[in-house]
Amino acid sequence: MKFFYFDTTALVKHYHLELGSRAVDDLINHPGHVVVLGEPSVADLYSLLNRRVETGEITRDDYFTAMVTFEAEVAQNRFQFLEVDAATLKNIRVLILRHNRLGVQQGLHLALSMEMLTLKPTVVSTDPALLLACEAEGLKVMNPEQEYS
Amino acid sequence: MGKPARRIKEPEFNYLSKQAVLTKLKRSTRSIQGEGLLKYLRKNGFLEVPLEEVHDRLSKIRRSLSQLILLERNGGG
Repeated sequence: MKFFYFDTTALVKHYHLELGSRAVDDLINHPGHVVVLGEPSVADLYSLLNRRVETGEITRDDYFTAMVTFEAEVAQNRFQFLEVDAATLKNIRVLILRHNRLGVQQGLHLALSMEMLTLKPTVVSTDPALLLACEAEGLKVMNPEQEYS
Repeated sequence: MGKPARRIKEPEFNYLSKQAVLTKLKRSTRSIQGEGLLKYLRKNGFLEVPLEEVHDRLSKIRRSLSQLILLERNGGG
């Protein structure tokens, strides 16, 4: 089994066709892969698409249809999750002290992926600051936008 | 003259053992699945569709969602 940690910039490419979607889907659809999401990515996805309703880019019906499809994939074990607990919150602070340029979201994804270090995960993201910090911490990284390009 | 800068030892990251990670993954996944909104959404008439339909519906969003997230993370959203 190979473990992949997706931040939200990678997850959205599964539902919205854009540069890197094919690479993301190849990872998700591979039977030997386990795709792990941080718990906050769920709310992040809801919020991101809800704002697209607010801006009039999609309808509320489109939004709920995307969300019910995501929820069905969660129920079908398409993804595994890591929750944020007290130890994670401490780890985020440790990492923000260590990496000057990390924001809260990046610190959170870095902390959760580092909790998985013994499983040798690959962090999948398009966030340059996050990928740089992951590499500095010894994690393997992949930018789906740079695959097949 | 001010005091010289103190050397501060970095706090340590709490790493998890392989078994502890696997246990946390299982517990977290069960918890997220248990608290999902699938039943609620279905009850309100929304049904899951093939991904192609989701892609089609969301194709109205012209911008890259990844880039929108990055803008927000960098304070530009």
